[in-house]
Amino acid sequence: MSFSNMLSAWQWGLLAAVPLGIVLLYFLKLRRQPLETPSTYLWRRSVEDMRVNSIWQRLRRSLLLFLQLAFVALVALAALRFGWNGSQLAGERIVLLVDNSASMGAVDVAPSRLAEAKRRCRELIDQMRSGDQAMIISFADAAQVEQPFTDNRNELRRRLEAVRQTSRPTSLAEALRLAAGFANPGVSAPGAAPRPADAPPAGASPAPEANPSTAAAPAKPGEKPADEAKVPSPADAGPKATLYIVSDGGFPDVATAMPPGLAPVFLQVGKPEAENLAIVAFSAKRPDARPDRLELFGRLDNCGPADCAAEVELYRDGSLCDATRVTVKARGSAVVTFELDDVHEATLEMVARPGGELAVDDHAWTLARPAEQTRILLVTPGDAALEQALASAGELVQLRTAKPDFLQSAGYRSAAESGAWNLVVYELCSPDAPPAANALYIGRTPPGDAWSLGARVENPQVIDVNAPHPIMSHVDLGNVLFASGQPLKPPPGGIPLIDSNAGVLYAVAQRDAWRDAVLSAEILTPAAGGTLERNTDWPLRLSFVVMLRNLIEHLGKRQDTAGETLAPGGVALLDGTGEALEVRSPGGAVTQVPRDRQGKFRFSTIEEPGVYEVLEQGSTRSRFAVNLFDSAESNIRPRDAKIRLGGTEVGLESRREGVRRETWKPLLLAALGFLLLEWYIYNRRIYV
Amino acid sequence: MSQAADSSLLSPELLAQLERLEIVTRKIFRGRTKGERRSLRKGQSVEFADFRNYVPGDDMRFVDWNTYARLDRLFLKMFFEEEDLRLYLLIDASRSMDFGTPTKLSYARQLAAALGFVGLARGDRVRIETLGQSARRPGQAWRSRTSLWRMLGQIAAIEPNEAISLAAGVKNFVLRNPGQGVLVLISDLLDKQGYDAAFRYLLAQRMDVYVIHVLSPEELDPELQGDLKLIDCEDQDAVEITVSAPLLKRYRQTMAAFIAGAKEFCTRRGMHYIPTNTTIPIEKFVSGYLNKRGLLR
Repeated sequence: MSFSNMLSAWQWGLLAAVPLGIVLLYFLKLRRQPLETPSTYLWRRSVEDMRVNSIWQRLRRSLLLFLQLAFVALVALAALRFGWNGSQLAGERIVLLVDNSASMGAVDVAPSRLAEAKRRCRELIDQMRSGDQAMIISFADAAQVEQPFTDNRNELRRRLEAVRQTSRPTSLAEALRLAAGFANPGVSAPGAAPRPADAPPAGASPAPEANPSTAAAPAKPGEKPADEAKVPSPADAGPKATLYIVSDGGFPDVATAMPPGLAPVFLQVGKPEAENLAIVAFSAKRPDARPDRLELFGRLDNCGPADCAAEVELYRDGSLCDATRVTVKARGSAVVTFELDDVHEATLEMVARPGGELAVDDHAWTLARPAEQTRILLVTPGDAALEQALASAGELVQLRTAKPDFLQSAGYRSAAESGAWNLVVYELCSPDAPPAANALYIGRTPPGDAWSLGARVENPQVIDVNAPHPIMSHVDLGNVLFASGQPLKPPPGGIPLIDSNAGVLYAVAQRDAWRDAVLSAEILTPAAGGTLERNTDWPLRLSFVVMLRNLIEHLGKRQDTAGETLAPGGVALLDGTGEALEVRSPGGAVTQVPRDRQGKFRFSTIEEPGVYEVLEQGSTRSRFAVNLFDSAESNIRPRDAKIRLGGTEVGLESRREGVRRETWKPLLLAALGFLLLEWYIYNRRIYV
Repeated sequence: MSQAADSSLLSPELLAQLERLEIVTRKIFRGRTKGERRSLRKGQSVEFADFRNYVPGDDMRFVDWNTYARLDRLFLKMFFEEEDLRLYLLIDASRSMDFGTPTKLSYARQLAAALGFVGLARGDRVRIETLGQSARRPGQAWRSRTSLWRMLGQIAAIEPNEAISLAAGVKNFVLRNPGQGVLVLISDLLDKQGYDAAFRYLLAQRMDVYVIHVLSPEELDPELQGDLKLIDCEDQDAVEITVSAPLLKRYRQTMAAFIAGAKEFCTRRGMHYIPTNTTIPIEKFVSGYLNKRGLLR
């Protein structure tokens, strides 16, 4: 405890005279009001009785004096700035990043990790001093500002309680960008306009990443920036806000540099010995030979430190139809398979029991759809090998072959626009407009400028195959020769599939909701006399058929979401004919989905795992399944000690600094209270 | 003195009510003149009392000749004598009685008028006196209804300006009225020297004593606030008080003890103590309280 003098000597003298004056005035006493009475006989006896040497009675008589002296004493203490050395939160601005991803639903910390995170945040809010500001950002795969900077602690507590658990994966990067944008409202990223206000509204888009060197440096030597107040100088490069990341650490390290102006502190929740058995994959596949049979594959991950034995149950349309027992090794995984016969359309659910301390990944859903043929249009001047290879897919393929002049017909245009085919193969020809389907171009590029071909090269040598890509899976081109080829330049985001010494010969790229694959090295080349010559021996190899089967598997499927698995937080592109659809969530909530500007139905409020039902005019049109299927999220073992944010390592300890705790405000308030009490008693002494 | 002023002391309704009442005393006193009350003495009334043997010198008019005819002996018939009652109404007219709404003195005046009327109506000898009267100048004694207006005039003329202690006033009364009778003392008893000495003078007088203790509600339950300097209206004694709940509580306790003390003193010594306060209507007090306490019947 210590004192800090605020007054000069003469001021202290004046203050000391006040209690003396009060005492003197008290003895001089207030002027009593004379009142004539019939007799003072009984009054005198009563007063004498009251004076029976009781200390308390004497004190009571001097109560007003004591209250006045206490008031002066408290004022004097306040003037002395009575206080002691304590500790407090560092920083006047606090950013609370609250993780509400799926892993925060783990119950290894009662009642849940998210509740524990909220408790830690409440502690931080309670420690805020008057004038400190804080903001709350919740983050999972996306960040959301729950409360912009405010010094209203009640509001902060209220908004903190409003943070809800999600089933989404975790990504810290967007939350960091958002926090930096709010913490450094005057700092702008290169090429980005500075924020106009200190406190943007909740839900505002994240600020561009700050770059103090760019922002602080004047455009030219001697030229000052337009707004000096908002542009930080190198002198104030220190942290402007303390960033508390309250999470279990179940997110990848952030590669980008830590935004300036933020001093990160990692507050970890969760126990290291947390156990969880998660279903991280569940899919259904029909064997080519048995379209009525369904093969189901599931993968279970065990993130716990001990082996885990679990019952895996399979439910078909809500009824238990199969079960198996599986043991998953510590920090390992296991695969379970089921086979079901005579299944055409069904909802399949896999349940792992016991599922550990995270419940959201103990269930997985998939949808079995009737076996559907892939409709393929082959437009070729006459490539029998290609046609034969496509037709070898058998019952799974409904192949139509046409000549290039078919592309000019009205029938083609209407069919291409309505999505009549799942896959269109253009050999040595190209349509005027891309079809509403996936497409393979051989020897040509898709219409438009996105793709480009280089100069023709003789005898290009294949030097690399993108084997991990599904289209090139199990495709070996070691014995394949090309007579000529043109190096291919795919649009941004395109994935090379075959690379040669002359450049890329085969690539795939996204086009809106579809994908285009382009093989620049022709299979047949036009020769003199209108005949076609073979340009490669690839069609003679098994790898050609394998590549086409992969292509049919990968690009030949319908592009709607029915039957596919989505993750929470994802966007479903729905098929529909009317103006609006309805989506019924697993919990029963129905959401209207109107057609957007592009004429598509996009359903973006996918939160809870389960089977969603798409309704059109009251009847079910399709369904799709939502599963977490995120190994990182299901691994609820808290991260080891530190996280890396760019080049910054963030430890677990909270930053506190020594500070002088002063009490002059409460003292003055207490003095005011004494003054009010004294005034009350003076006016209502009859009740004392 | 106008008749209208007198009507403020006794309303017609109260007069009609008082007509039916009479002063009651447990003691039978010898009267000076004939009245309406039976005396210990045998005298000439119409009510037969007893026989006694004739002795020479007796008035032959009272010999019972019928008995002489049967028994051949002379017997004298004796009759109850009826005498008057002396009713003394002693009023405390000190300045302390001039408080309250209505004032205690006006309440005492009304009370004295009512009791005096009852006495006059029954042929009693009524004497209205105040504590401040000299020991050598007894007050006018009133008898018969014809004296009513003059008696009321005397009562109405009493002013709260007497500066004499209770004991001295009672002593003077005793000195100037040595006879027997019924004494009704109407006072607030607020005398710094106490009431003991005054009551002892009365005890020695063999009177049937009724003490009517008149207090005002302002004295029984004062509603005071703040820092006050209380000044005694009689001796200008000053008491500084800071009104507080404990002080008020203590005052009420002191007042209760004061009343209880006076009551006990009177009861133990055969005196009648009747407390009242000025909020009790005089009609209710006379017909209810005094009737119940045995002063009136």
